[in-house]
Amino acid sequence: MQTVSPTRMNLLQRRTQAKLAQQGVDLLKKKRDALVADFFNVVRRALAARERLNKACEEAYVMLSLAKAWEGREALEAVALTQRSERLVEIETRNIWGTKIPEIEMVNGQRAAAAVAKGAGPAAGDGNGFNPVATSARAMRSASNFREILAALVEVASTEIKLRKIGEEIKKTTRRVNALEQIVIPRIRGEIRYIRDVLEQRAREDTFRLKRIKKKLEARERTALES
Amino acid sequence: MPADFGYINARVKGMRSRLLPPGRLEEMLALPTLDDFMQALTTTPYGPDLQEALSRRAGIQAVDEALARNFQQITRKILNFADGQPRTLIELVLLRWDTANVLAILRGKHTARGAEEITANLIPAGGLRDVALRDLAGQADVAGVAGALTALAHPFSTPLAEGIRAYQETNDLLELELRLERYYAEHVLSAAGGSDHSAQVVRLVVQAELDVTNVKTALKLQRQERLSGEDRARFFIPGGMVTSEDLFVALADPQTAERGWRALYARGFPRLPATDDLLEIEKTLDLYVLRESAKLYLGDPLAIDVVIGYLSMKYNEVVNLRLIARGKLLGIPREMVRREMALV
Repeated sequence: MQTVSPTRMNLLQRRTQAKLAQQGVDLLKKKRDALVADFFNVVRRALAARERLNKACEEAYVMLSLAKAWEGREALEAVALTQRSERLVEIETRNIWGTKIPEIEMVNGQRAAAAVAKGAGPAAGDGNGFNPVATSARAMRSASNFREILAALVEVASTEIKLRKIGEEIKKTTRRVNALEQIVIPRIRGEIRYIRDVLEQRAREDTFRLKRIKKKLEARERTALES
Repeated sequence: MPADFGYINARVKGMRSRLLPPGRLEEMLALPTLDDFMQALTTTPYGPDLQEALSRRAGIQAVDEALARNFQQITRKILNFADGQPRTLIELVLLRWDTANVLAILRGKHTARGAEEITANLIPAGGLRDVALRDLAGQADVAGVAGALTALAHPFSTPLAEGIRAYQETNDLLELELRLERYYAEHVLSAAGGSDHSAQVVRLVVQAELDVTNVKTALKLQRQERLSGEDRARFFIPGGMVTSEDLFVALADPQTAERGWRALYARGFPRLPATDDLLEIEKTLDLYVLRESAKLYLGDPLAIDVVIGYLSMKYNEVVNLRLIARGKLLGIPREMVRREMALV
């Protein structure tokens, strides 16, 4: 406060700054509201994705257990030996109020690893590379359930990373709003008050001085007239 | 050593008494945790195998290993007290396990897996013993496996030797797998070609299995609309009693499936539940094969019937114990586990 030189120029500058800060607060509040609305949308989706994942896991592990029990772990793992496929995910970045939020999505279809592509590719009956003669429906359902888990996992990852990013941004925006409202704006207002007070004081002193000079001049005039 | 089935069956009937009664399985099903189940399993004939497995593994893996090991020992024991023609027939029955093991090795080699990983997925319950399987799994590639089978003079060396050139040109493992499956059927049916009752029973059992396998394959292919008739016919394994190639193709094509079903039932195939659920149908078929094989235990006491029946009952017991163990591990409701259990 002491470093601010109480000049009219600084007063005008501070007033502009205060106005700008207030505009910043309004904008940040709007951004925060938009982020909060988005956050709640994503929360709903994240909960649904979690539920989907839990359900998929429950079904998949029960089915895998049944398949292992009926066919034996060894037979099932032998089936899995030929299954070396890749699943592709696509990551796009969306901009929400200047915040970059990743959108992760699974690409439809799978790319089998080169080693398996020819040996047990789409011609292998079920379209997923299994030999339908030597692979039971339980094993196939189990594999399909785990593919569903993978899709659900990607969805959970996508929504939860979005939630974290939006959450962090809300926190950051709130901190900025608070800093502006509670520190920057009060400080500028204090400086404005200080400069205004000093300028008013100066103005009063000037008036007082002028009045004293005027009085002195009048007194001098009066003395001259009397003499 | 006596070679006749009279002696073998007497020994097998003695082993039958060591199967767990349904009440015992029910007791195990009622146990609250996997640990309690394992504790109960130690008081059964699986106890020593479980103790040994527990020295290497823990929990469900130990249970799996103990059950698999016990089953292997049973098959080994039966083979050890048989010789001559009965042994040949029993080996033919157990050849199914060799098929599974050779398939696992071929898949492992095709995808360049290590010998250790492949060996972990083998059950030496057939003619190929541990050492032979380890040798096969240790080969560098699929061609090496084919060569090693030839050196072992194993019947499966024939389809692999025939198919290896095509495999090397196309890298199409599926064709090699199908060749092996077809050869298995052809070999067992011709090797058990005698007119005696035991050979007939082996043929009947294998033919019933082939029929069920073909129906299950056709049902899976029904769900693949973009396959041509030729693509579908590729998966047919000849040798079944009721399934012909025409019938298989008709059944495997969603457009002609209805006609296929009618023809199948007209040939005496057991009626299946009217459902689209492949799992339900497959379970019904598995149970049908299991029950029909197990019923053989009450068949001719001087033929292979008793051995096949006993092996089915034993494998059924192993499946049931695996189901109970997994039910305990994952907390699957008891009713659901009971529904899945095949009580023969």
